[in-house]
Amino acid sequence: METFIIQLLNGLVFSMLLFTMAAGLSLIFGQMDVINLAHGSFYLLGGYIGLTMVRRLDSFWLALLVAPLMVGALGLVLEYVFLRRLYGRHRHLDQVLFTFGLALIAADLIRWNWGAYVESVPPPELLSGQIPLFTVQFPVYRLFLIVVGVTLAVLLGLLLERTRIGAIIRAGVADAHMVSALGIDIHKVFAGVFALGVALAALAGVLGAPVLNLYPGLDFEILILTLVVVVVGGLGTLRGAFFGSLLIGMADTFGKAFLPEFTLFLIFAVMAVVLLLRPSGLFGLEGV
Amino acid sequence: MPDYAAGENTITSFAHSFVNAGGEIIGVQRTPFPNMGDPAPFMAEIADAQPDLVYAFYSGGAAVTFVKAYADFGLAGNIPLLSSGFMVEEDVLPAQGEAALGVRSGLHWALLLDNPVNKAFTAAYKERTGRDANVFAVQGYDTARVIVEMLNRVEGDTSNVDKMVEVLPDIQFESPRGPFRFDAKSQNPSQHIYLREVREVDGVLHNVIIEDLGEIADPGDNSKDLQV
Repeated sequence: METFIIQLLNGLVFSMLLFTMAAGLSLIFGQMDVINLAHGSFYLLGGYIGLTMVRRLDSFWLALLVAPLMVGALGLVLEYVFLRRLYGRHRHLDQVLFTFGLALIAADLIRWNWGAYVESVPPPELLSGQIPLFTVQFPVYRLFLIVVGVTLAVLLGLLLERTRIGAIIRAGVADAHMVSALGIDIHKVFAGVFALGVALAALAGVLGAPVLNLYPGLDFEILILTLVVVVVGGLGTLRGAFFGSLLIGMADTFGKAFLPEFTLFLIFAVMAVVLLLRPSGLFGLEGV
Repeated sequence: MPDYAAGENTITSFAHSFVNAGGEIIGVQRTPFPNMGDPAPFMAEIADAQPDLVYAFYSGGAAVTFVKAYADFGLAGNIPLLSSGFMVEEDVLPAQGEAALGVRSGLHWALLLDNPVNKAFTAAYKERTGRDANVFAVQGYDTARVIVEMLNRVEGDTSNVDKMVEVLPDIQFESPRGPFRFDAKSQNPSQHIYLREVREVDGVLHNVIIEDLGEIADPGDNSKDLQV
């Protein structure tokens, strides 16, 4: 029973990390109708920028702030220069080719700059150490990840539900053309949402580095899990990203705890079952 | 251990010797290969099982993930961690840092191995690459050496493959790892295995050799004969 509770906590930690990723991916899809296959690359890039910040400036907190800002700015540039040319209902293939190509190029550039060896980032001094919890010494940093994830979910929820910007974004998800017709520059909204989405991925990269470390290939590992989360939760909604993350995070954790040989199988089995019962995901928008 | 062939081989071999020596195995974890993702669930299971020691086999990214999580969850220092030497080799030690302190491992080489061939090799490697050598570099070096020795023995005549295979078992030389030759039965290397422990040497973490366990022939793929 005690170990069950600890695994529940572990599942929550991983879910919140997945949520930070999935929120951005889902937001970008819901708003722009673009499946960003480079989302894992922005995660890894954020993590590596964080690594450099921690090494140069010895501050995890600064890394947590600066990496998302830098990657967000990069997102703005990429949206303006490339992605803007690829919007449209019938251009999914172009978007997939572009973002996948971007992911491949990013993987090589990251390897070129940071090397192929595994790198690790220590958690900040304040959050290193453990607190005793039943049979284990639970790392404080992991508890911090839960706090960050829940806080982020609340903040994003408030942003989308309670602010004018959120109303525009939600309206854009429902019908971008109508929003445009009402005199709102939808391109600015798209650019902002893309920047916010990839900044969240970078944030997840910095947050995840002390737990999952950094190495070439992690970009695609995390991308696939995030895609599963978003598909399970339903594309385009924050609530879907949140509950999808919980479901997949728990499936991953309890799969590893009880049936480690079938962990990956379990995750995809969950996805298959959800899609059979609800083809557009748990909280997916109808017809998406 | 990672859920793939080399993981099975390593764990099977360890379990075989361990049980024969009177040890009892209370659990085996097969983790997704090549990377285990979030390692936390495995740590919680280890803490729950409270074994007297943990033996693990990982390499590369998974080795860093595992060793760091083992320390993060306070298991390091409480439950001794043994491993195949790849898990704490020079390629991953810098990323593991202090989390790897005290990990004991068996391997056919160590950076600090004190023999003239190794000293020359490690110095040349560092000069060329700027990094310390690791066991993979040594294995590549030795593989090339075996190829060169074989070509010498057939005097460069690669047309007769049977002849090349024939001369292979007789090849032996002084490697950075010590004397190197092939085992007649398994056709795998027969070499010295060293018991090593991660310690701080002049402010840097290295695998310090505690004991030379003598020449041991690699049994090869024994996963079909033994089961864990």
